[in-house]
Parts: sequence; structure tokens; C-alpha cells
Amino acid sequence: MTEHLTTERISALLDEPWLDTVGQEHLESCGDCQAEFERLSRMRMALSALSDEDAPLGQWTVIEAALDKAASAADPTIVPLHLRLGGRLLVPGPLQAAAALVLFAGGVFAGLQITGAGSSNEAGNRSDIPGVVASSNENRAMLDGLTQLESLRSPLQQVGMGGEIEGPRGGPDPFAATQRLARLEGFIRALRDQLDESPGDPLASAYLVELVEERDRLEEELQASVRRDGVLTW
Amino acid sequence: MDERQLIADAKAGDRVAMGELYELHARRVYTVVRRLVGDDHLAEDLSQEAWVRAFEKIHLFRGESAFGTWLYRLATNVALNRLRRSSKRHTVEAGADLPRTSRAQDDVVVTRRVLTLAMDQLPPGYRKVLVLHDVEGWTHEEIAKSLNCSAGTSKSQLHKARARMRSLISPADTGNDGTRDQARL
Repeated sequence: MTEHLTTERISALLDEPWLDTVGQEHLESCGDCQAEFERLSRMRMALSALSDEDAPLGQWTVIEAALDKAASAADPTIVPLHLRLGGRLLVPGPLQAAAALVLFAGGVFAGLQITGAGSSNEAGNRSDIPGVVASSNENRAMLDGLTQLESLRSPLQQVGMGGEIEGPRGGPDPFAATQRLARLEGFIRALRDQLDESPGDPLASAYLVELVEERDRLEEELQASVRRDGVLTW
Repeated sequence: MDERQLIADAKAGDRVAMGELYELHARRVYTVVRRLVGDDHLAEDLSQEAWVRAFEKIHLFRGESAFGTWLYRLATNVALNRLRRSSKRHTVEAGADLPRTSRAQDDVVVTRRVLTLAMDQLPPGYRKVLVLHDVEGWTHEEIAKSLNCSAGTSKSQLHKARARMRSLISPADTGNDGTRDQARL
């Protein structure tokens, strides 16, 4: 046999010589092919002996930051302080003003509903709020902000701010209050889910803070009522 | 500290323990990813991704194998998945940008730098099998399972990869496809 083996065939002989007896016979009698066999063998050994390379400098810092981000996204009970505060700070100037106004109006609106000082039907008319604000400020950006915030505020009405919660003794009905707390929890969870998907959403972040504060306030009032009267009378 | 304790602490979320595990295995993880993808920047990104995944999934590590083995397999899978998704094709001519070695040098020593550069220039399909088999020591059966191909395909790719490596390292001796001289058997 005068023809040489291909490098691929010699490579196969390197690993499984018993599978190619014809090639093995040629290899034993051909100096060129033996030399190629030796070179391939050295290359294989050199590959297996390659030492490890250094990891990039500062990689652990990057990994830690990624772990922090993943952890905060994975745990819906964690709302980092920077997100709560930053959520408000991230709102553009006109929108901040609009947000403040709407939240204030929403608070007054809710207060009227809870205390019964105003007609729930009138106060529940959502279109009144942008109208009042628009009369005092014509800023278009503010109106846009109002529209967005109003759409976010609607759950507040659904969780009981616009409903009848008056109890039999003239005070709020504890059953309705408990229901409202449960609904608040549901909306808080939904907002947190939304923040998981869009962590930088300043409106959702700000609204979450509002709902959490409202829930905490209701819980405190309930607990105070229990401490005061020994029963849940509110 | 004992690695087993570090793993237990890392499972509990101990960031210091995670950092120590990183220190222990960072070079290996980066190296295996770097060799598979053949690119420094991509290797940096993917090795970071591998570490984040490892710590997210560390609760799934039951200690049935060495932690290093589990971790390197995970890193390898991250790299292979990326290569699978990537449409990047290496069209570099054989021997391009590779430090030339004379035949006399080639007979004596093939430097690590030459080998690394040559591996980087392999088509991804060749490089994967060469790195996993000749560098990482996987069997063809393991490679076939990981790459979802047959062991025969893995062997065929390996021999082609070695031939291409030879042509990259010493282009004077071989053709671009790794064939030698005029006559072939």
C-alpha cells in the first residue's frame, strides 16, 4: 500500500485502532503516516493538559448584582425601599404633580366615602376628579398623568372605598372592613406581580405604596378596635 | 471551610459562602465556557449566567456527584444552549491569524496559545466535540446525549475537528480539510 491515510482516519486509529486493521497495518509500515500519528497524538495530549484560564476580574461583583436582582424579582413579599422611594422619584415633574393631586383627591374621595360625609354616588363619579384638577391646572401632561393614575386608582374603589360599609351601630361594618382588607391584599399581590414584570414602573410602584399604607392603616384600626373593645366592633 | 459546609450555607442564601464557592471554581467554569464558545466576551457573559443559574438552582444539588462536576455540567449546558441558538458561523480561512510554527517546532511543541487560537477558529460543531472529548474528557456517548446526536456523529465530528486543527496549526502539511499530501487512502 503506497497511499497515505487521511488525517481523519489516523485520528480514528488513535482512539480505536482495533476497528481498522487495514489502516493499522499501513500505519506500521509507513513513516509519514506514523509521523502524522505522532503529531496527532501529541496534539491530543496537549489539549488534555491545557491549564485553566483566569476568570475575568470583578466577575463576582457582577454575579452578586445579578443575584440581588433575581432575588428581589423572585420574592413578591420584598419591595425594596429603593423601589418604593425611587418609584416616586422616577416620575417626571408634571406627572409627580399630577400624581400628588390625584392621590390627594383620591384620599379625600375615599375619606368622604368612609365617613359618609358625602354622597357615594357623587363622589364615585370618577370623571369629576380630572375635571376638578383640570379647572385648576391646564397642563396637558398633568391630564395624561391623571388619566393613567385614575386607571390605576379604580381598584381602590373596587376594594371598598366606594362601597357601603356602614355597620348596624352607625360605624363601619367589620365584615365589610375585613372584606375590604382581603381585596386590598389581592390588589397588592397583583401590583407586585406587575412590578415583577416591570420593576421600573413608577406608577405601579407609587400605587403599591398607597395600597400598602391603606392596608396597614386599616389593620391598625382593626387591631386598635379589638384592643379597645375586646371584640371586633370598629 | 469544608466545601460541603459552603454548599449548605449557600443553599441557605449565605452570600459569603457563595463567594467562596465562586473563588474555588471560577477558573474552571470560565475556562470550560471559554473553550466551548471561542470568544472572550461571550464567555464572560455566559460564565456569569452559569453562576447565577447555579446559585438559583443550588437547592437542587443533592450531593450525588461532586459539586464541581455538577457545576461544570451546568456551565457546559449554558454554553451549548447558547451555541445551539447562535447562528454565528465561523468562516475563517484555515490558519488565518494563527502564529505560524515551523515544522521543526511543530514536531516538538504546540503551545497553549496556538492550540487556543486554533480551537477558536474551528466551526462551532467541531469545536464543541473536540473540547468536550479531548479537553474535558467526555465519552462519545456523553457527548451524543448532550448534543442530541449519535455517538457515531460525535466520532466523525471529532476526527474532522482534529484534522482541521492539524491544518490550522501546520497548514504546510495538510490541506484545509485536514487531508495530507497527494495520495489518500
